[in-house]
Amino acid sequence: MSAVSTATIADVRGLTVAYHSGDSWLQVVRDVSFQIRTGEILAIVGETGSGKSTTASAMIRMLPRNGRVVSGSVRFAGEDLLGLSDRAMRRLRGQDIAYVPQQPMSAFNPTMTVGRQVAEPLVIHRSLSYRAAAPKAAQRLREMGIHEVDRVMRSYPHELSGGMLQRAMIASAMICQPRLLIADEPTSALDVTIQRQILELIKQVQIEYQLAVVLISHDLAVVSHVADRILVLYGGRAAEIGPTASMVNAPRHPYTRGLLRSTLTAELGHKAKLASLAGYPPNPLEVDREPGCPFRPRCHRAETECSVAFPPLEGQPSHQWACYNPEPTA
Amino acid sequence: MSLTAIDTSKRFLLGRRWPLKTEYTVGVDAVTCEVLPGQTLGVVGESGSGKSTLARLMLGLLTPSAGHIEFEGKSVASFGPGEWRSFRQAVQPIFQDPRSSLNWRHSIERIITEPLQNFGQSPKQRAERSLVLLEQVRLPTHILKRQTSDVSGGQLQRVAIARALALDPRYLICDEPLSALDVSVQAGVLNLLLDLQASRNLAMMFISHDLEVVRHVSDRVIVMYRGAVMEDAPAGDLYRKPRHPYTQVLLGRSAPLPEDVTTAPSVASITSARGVRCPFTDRCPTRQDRCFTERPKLRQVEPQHRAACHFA
Repeated sequence: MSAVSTATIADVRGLTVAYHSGDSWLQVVRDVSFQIRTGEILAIVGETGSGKSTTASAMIRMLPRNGRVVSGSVRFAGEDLLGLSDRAMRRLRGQDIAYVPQQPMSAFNPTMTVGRQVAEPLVIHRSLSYRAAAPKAAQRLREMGIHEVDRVMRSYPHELSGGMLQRAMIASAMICQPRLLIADEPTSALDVTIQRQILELIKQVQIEYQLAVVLISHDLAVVSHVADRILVLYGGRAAEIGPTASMVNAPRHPYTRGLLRSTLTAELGHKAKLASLAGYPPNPLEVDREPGCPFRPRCHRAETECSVAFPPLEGQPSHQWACYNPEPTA
Repeated sequence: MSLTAIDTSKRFLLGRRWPLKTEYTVGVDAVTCEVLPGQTLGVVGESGSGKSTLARLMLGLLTPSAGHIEFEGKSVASFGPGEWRSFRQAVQPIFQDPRSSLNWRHSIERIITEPLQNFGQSPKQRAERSLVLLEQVRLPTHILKRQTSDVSGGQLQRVAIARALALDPRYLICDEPLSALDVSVQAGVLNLLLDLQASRNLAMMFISHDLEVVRHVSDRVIVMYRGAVMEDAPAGDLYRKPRHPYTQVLLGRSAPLPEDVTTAPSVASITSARGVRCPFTDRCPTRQDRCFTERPKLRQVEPQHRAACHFA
């Protein structure tokens, strides 16, 4: 898209993350690299256990206790995030890097009013009093399309709907004018009609603030409406990355193509058979132990070499896929 | 031969307040619908619209507060124990999340064969039957000895389907059967349900918030909002030419008014919704004065096509 500038704001290289499970370390994200540029939405798409949320948590160093980054680097605005002190990292979070979680209902503190929580980043990062921060919070809430701002400010989380809370969450995330917004399945817990509105809101905020956004989702079809580029993860590995148009119209990885083809379209006859992917997503506990491509057992184009080693990324710099036997271009 | 809800309502007690004031919330509001052999009745609506309550009424898990559920010509309210038993055999549920609806302490084998045991089959019969069932839902036989925690969500939903099929039901009530599944396995489970319907002439009720899926599987669709049916039409007509403003909003054909600050339907909004005004007035983009003073009836707008709107 034309609004995309070329300045890379975040650069993730060779990110490998492991969780301690039982008595061993299991790698759940392996050698994942991508860049995010100012003014673009990068969608990270994957299923349960694909490592999409782990990737996001690793970027902001919010991995659970049993997780650690094994190798790789995360650079944000030139700084190596993995090397920062905890104190410096805390200053970045909520100020330069904002995060919107999946479940707004459980992310808000139930004992504090929404207004106070939306204003909180200003109190922490800009040393404002709540009194001074409140008008700014109200202003942000208004920008997020909330009409009865005063009432929302005074409400406790349980008094508001999910869509309203997610708007408030985005308002809170945007209040310090961050440069990078990470949204982890921001619409999955919401109703269909509200989902669309929240995605449009994120798009609108992104354009207005020239923000870089990482949008994590399990639904390729949904994010393709708002994302500039898409990264597809499978079994903890990058399967394919590229601009939205080529990912949707000319996917090269059999998994991306399978995902797209198993989506319902209006052209498909009533009760007609859908193209479906055979098999099930790999169990993250097992995928680490086997060599080769994790998608191999479900792939209709698999060859012998696929079980020997994981395929390297191929293609042009803008559109890359990890497959020995990619889908032909139409 | 059908499973029918006739003017069925379900309200839940919220609390009693002195003096003598009892407050209810309306789960399902005077719904009439019919599940027919070989056909799918799709039910769409947002959360809180009463979809799942309707499913539980149809399954006989809840007793209607008003109206009744009729099973093949007989009201379930008049059922004796024997009739309930044959009802349970004929009408089976598939729930959203198999991890929470199936007993995780039981092996897959026990989950699938328990209904058979309950209906008096010998261990040998059960073992044979479970193999047939696994084949029908396309699962490998070694899965029988596994625990639920050892299989993926997609496989477990197939186990739930196998269990539902064990007693050769004629009706399947599916409450969001795909939403807990990964995208790449949804298509497979959907194909399976359609296959089963075609080969066994199953009557299906299919509840989902995913409008595309409902369009794909349904012969007829009802659209619910705050417990009431807003529109009821053959699937093709509904998607081609939605008549109710709420359906148009759901299908993305028009933008709704900004959502209510509270959408968890409060008592006040529910009582007024039940009373005189149209329940959709607070978000309707085309509302007019009349909508606040007179609740529209579900009326025929075209043959086979009903909508609850004055202006549809």
